[in-house]
Amino acid sequence: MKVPLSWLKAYVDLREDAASVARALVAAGVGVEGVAGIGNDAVLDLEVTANRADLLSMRGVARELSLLGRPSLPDPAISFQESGEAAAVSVRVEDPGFCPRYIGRVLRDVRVGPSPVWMRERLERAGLRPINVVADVTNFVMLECGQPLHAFDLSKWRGSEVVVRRARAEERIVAIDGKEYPLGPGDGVIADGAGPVAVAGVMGGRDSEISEATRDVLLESAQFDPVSVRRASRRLGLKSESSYRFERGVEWSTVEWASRRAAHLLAELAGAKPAPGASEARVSAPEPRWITMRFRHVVRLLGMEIPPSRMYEILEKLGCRIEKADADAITLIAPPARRDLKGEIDLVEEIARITGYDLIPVDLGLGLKVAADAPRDRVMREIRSVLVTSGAFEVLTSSFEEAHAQPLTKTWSQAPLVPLRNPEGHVDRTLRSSLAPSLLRVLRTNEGSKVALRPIFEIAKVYRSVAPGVAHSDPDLGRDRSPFDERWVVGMAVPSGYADARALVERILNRLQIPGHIQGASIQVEGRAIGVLSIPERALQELGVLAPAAVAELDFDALAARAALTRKVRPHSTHPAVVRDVSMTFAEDVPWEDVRACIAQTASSLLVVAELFDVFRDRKLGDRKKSLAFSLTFLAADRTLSGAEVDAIVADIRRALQERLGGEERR
Amino acid sequence: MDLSTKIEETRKRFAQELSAASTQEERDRVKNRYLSGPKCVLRGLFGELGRLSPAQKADGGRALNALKGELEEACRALAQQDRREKEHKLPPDPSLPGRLPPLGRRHPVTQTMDDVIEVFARLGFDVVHGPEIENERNNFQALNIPLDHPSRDAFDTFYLEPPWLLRSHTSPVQVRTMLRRKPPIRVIAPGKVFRPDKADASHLPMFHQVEGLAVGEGVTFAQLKGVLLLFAESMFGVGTQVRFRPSFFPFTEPSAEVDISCFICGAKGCSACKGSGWMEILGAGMVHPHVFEAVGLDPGRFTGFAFGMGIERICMLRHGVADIRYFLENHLRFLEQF
Ligand SMILES: [Zn+2]
Repeated sequence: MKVPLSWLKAYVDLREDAASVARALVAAGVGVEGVAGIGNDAVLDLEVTANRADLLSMRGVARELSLLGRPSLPDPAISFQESGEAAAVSVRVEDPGFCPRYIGRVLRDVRVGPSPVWMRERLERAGLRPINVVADVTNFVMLECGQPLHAFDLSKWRGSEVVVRRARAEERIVAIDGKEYPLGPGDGVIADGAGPVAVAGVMGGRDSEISEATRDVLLESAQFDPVSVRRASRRLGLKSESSYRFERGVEWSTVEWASRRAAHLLAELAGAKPAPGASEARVSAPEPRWITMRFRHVVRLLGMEIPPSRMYEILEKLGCRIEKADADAITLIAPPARRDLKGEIDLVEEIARITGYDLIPVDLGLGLKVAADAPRDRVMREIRSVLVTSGAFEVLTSSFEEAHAQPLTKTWSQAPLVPLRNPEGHVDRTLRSSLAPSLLRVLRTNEGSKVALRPIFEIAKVYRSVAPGVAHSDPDLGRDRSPFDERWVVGMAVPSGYADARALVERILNRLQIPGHIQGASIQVEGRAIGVLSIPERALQELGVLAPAAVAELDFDALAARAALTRKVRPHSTHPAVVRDVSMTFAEDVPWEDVRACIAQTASSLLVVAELFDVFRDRKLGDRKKSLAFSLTFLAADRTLSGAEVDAIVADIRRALQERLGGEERR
Repeated sequence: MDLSTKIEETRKRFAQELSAASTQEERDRVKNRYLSGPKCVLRGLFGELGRLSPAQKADGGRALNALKGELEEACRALAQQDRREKEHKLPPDPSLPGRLPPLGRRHPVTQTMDDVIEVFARLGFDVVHGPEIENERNNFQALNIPLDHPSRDAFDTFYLEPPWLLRSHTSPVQVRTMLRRKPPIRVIAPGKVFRPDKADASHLPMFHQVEGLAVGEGVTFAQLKGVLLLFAESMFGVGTQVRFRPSFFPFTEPSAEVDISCFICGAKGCSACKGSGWMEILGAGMVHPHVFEAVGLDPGRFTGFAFGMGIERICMLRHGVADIRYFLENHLRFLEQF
């Protein structure tokens, strides 16, 4: 809200510059977005929090500054002569819950022209466009006291009754913006004898708008239910200074004050002749808000001793009516303007705020406590560290996926995707069920900028809908029978292909001491698939990734459940190892996995590592043949191995490979 | 001369000849003479096996195989040593870069997140997690944010099927924690949150927060100030000042916005702190009695404080990142700087 300092000074005695006023407000919790100088005036741009409806006016801000020690000035004048016949207008409220108070006042012979320069200047500095004297006065009073007003051209009124009611089916209204709006059954409207003339608290209708030709004015000042106004304003997409204030709530007694203040100004500035009295419909005035505050509670909550006398003083300055006070507690009636003060805690906050948060001591005495172990978090950190030390870059991608996108990669769940509504309620996106497409897009982006690609990974959640009644456990803080399954996934995309992606997966399993193995595209642990690993040709093509990238996704929860982070050591040999390199030729369809298994079965326990280091193909080898070169490392715990001993084992291995897998000695 | 003596002699002679050879060519010649081709020394020795009895033949064969292995091993070791020496003898260029396998990177947001978590872990806060798909009750009502209330304006929300939504803050984890644990409670909850904001230099529809909560008998605002001062000093350096400004959050009262003194300009005023010398980094306050009531804790007995911060924002301040969207773009040239 924009607050011109010159206007503010009409209600509070300020003998300081704008910066000083801003500092005082900020320290008390009223945000100041900026201070702009206009001529010899300054305009404070206030950021008013949702609880402080009382600050949405000049007088409200002035009241706050008085609370902060600036002398307040007398209330603005209200005096006008009523004349003519009493107006033949009656007010009927169908739903008092929606409209607890409505005052309609008739003003005759209004000269609709421009408002005086001083008023136009104030409005402009406060960010409102001057229109004509009637509109300007209603806006001026609203900014002055926070109560929105509306003026109708009385000559356009059909009938003599003002009806405040909910809209009926099929009703429509053309608003002052010239657009036609269909009304909903919950919307509050002001209606004349023929139908709605305004959306209550939100916007007036075009047909009853004040014009140059207007002579007689019906001035509305009312209190509307905040929730209804908010719903109507949101549904119709109409927001106004009025709806903003009604949503936050206006104050009962100000309804009348504002009506009279506007009559005073219109009489003075536009020659208006107020008709005697006003038409009013109201329920009884709101009950006073009684609050009891225990002095000890303030100390207990803030951790600071504040003398009860000081608390008493602050509450009194706030405008509280103190009814009872003793050594332990104080009982009071909260000030009507501060509708946010409802209970003890609200008073504690006022006392802390006015005392100043700076004065509350810093207490470092929160007791010692060892934070609980979080094994799942440790597993996640371990995985990150394995991948990062292996040269992979961690990335962060959006959880959203276009709704029309077909799944580009295989995942292990085929449950339906989770649709996401945009703010208008339409489904245009889903929550992703796989990290792979996002990861591949990152590769594409980087390919585009010609940077050397690196393996990338992300640890994030993927989402699925689950059928109603399907229970699933959540290792986090539990679930309230959510119809959704969200789970952590470790996703990797490796531009250099399948073998390197596989190496990363194996390294993770190894580091977590999980005995897994990879069968084609499936990563298996104890007979259960816990992940996938493949080169998704179609996805690469569709997303325009040039590298033959492989992607892998691992179910993090499955890993975390099986991970063993504490490592137990075996005795290690201090004797030298003996290494033998072997190369043999095999048929193309003999996988390394089989060769490795055969070696492992044949070798004695002295074989500690069998590592493939070359795969060689050549015409000389013969058609559909390949040569595998691998090195075998032998080690004994208790002695130095002799070459002869090792060679005998190697000879056995060669023989076994020859007999079982058709391996041939390379010539 | 029997075979074993010959083997012993061969071993010695080979060792002498090999050590006498000073170039690779000479060594290759020694190796060939002993190990390669049909006329090599070792073949000759193997040939002698034919003259032995079956029992002697087995022993002799084993001994010869062992010798062969040893000689090969010796040649291999020497060749390796030779290669190393050769490299040493190259004219040294100390400006040549070192050679190491490349390291990867953790994402900057993860790094900042982990740092924040570590500071609070040292202060005894347990790490807890909550789901990203939440219900209205935990995201709003239980946190004293009524439906259809202006206090919800700050929490625009992605809806799935009502009442399910993507959490718009990590505060629902407060509710989940208090429903499942009894005080004393001291937890932090890191995680993703979602708001239907248009992406620009300082907004993303998906970002990260860390929430903190302490509940017990006698937890005070003064302790909140203490914990956040320790956090600020651990995170941004000893001597960092902390400023509390009154504010409003529906789920805390009294509420505060917390600023730290600008670590870029030393609180003198710069573009990062918009000239004020202060940087807003988190929101905090005392747990509202309505929140305690919503989770079945007695606000007459327990008090508590809560705080929440945006990780991307802190990461941007620490590293001078100008645009929050860089975090989601994942250009390797950006990521490799962390
Ligand atoms: Zn600065």
